[in-house]
Amino acid sequence: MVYFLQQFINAVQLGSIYALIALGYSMVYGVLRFINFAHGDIFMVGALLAYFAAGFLIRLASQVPIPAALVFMGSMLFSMVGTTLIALLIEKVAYRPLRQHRLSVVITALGMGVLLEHVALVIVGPWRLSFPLLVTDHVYRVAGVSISTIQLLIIFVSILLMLILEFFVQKTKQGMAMRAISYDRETLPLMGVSVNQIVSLTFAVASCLAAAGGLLYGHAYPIVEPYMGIMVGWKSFISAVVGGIGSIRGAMLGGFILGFVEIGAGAVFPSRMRDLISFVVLMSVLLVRPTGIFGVARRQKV
Amino acid sequence: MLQIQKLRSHLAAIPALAYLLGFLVASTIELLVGDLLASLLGLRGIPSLFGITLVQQYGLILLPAVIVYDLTIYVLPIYIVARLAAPWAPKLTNKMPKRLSMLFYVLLVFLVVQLWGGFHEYRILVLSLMGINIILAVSLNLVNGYMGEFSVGHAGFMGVGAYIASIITVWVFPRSLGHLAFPLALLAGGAGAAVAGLLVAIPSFKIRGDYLAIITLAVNYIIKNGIENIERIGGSRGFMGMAKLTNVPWAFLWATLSLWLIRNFVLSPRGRAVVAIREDEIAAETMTVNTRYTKILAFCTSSFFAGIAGGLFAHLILYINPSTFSLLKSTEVLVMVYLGGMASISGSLIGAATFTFLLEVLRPLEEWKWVLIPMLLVAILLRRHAGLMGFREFSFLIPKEEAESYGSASD
Repeated sequence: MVYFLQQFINAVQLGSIYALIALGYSMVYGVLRFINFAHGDIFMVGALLAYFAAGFLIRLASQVPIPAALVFMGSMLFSMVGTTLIALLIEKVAYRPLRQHRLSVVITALGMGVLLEHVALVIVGPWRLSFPLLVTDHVYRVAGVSISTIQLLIIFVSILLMLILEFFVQKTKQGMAMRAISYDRETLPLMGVSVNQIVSLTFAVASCLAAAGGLLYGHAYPIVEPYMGIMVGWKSFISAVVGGIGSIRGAMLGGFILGFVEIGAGAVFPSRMRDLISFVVLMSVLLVRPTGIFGVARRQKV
Repeated sequence: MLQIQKLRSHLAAIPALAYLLGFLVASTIELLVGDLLASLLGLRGIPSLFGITLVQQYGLILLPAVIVYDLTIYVLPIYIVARLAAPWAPKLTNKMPKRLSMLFYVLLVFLVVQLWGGFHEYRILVLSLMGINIILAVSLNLVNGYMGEFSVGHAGFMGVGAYIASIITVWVFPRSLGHLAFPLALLAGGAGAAVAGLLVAIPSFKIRGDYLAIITLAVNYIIKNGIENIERIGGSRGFMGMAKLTNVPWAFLWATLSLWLIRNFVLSPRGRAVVAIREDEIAAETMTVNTRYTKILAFCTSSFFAGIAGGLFAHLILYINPSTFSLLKSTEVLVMVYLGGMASISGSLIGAATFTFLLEVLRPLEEWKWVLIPMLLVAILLRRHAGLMGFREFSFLIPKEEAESYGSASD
């Protein structure tokens, strides 16, 4: 039981990071019906920017007294702003002109992903940078289960962000426009809503979540490198699909499901089988529910 | 500007056959006096890829020597011979039936390729890779271009083919058989890959579009991870012991064969059914297209050729390991397909050839290479959203009766 609870916490930690990134895939898909394959690398950019910001702020904090919470918030804010700017630039240059051609834009997205990876490689080199911890890590033991400050922080921050997102999408005007655009793309411009603005906003929100994911990932697995976005990106993408791509709640659920499957598979089978198991689970889910858990099959008109 | 236009129209007036003859002469000249000229000009050996790599590596000092070399070995002989041959070259093939003239062209191209690259270690590698990439691109185009699905797992099938072919040549056939057994091993690899293709084909009955893309992704991972977990064939350490069987003739033969077969397939009634599925699956089904059978056929054909390419690749590099066949490789093939053009055999040919060439030429740039290539890809897609030759073909690849249903490929 203790062992089970321990694994449960690990799974929630991993799952919440997957969920944060999966949300980005899902939201962009909901608005544009296109898979932003560069999103995994946007996550990597977020982690790298957070790394630099954290390094700078820690050095600053050694001279001027700055509370640790402010350092954490500052790095997250910097990483979010930087990542958003890069994502908006990519959207403007590589996606917007090709919006009418769904397949081409997927390829430019793949290309942009490769571009980001290698620009990062040119800038930071192929080394694995170790991420500085921004909180002092305590391990609490509750009824035999150990849980660290970092784990609590990751789970807390990601759930907070998801709640904010949920509020934003459900209660604000912009969120309503986002939902409307994914419901009916042709009618929305007729209602006087600028599609381009909503698309940019969606990209901004998605990359903010990815940047937060990058910072949290850096705390959980304290290594950042230019290729880190590939595997995490694909895994989050899977989460989005399992939950039903285009659905925000689906992406959250999918992230947690994948976290549980991975940790569960790692606990039962040898660790090198972990990816294999998660992909097999993914395939089985899709075979049973071809549009994911929350996905709605769009009826084809004949 | 006017001068350039004049030059262009002047050069475009010379038939392709004349250029081929010119290149043939140029390659012969290079074989005979290339070494001598290169040492006279102070170059280290003959410049293997027209000297572009040399200039990048040793700086602009070598530029004059390289230009002189390229002018005397390539540009001048090609131009002179092409100019001389222009009046009478078309008469050679005009009288032949179309099939015979195609065969003639293919043989001529082969001769040029073999003379230019068959006797030079590095060029053999580049040309073989080019052939392998052409097979990969054209077979992926069948699924991504003609059928309109989005497969991102082509490297997985390539891996299956590579492993089966290598296991057969290393463990089953005696080494002395060498080139005799090679086609059999490749075919077996292709067949194995085709069976693996069922992993995608069967889910594709129910799952479409982006969800199918995930299935192909998952299949790629499952294959890679599966191989990693089979200790008998080396697991993640990889597999080696193959003899170097892939060379320019084999690569050329298989690339031509796959181009020809896939071109015939997409022009056949079954291939039209594939295109019909892309345009509208339900409409196709009401028009009596057996969509399940067609999908199986398309996916398995595509992965069959990927398997062949894998076998060739394994016997070129002589070492394979599961991570060779990861998503990165699949992405490379995708880039080739979309660079060249969707639903276009000529596009796959151009895309794969250009991509391989770029990759080799830009090698000295190291990581900057992968910054430039995506930029180029995006720039091309922004101008031509379906790739360079998207939905168009060279005129020699399509039957005369259908010429007007394709866009012209002259510009």
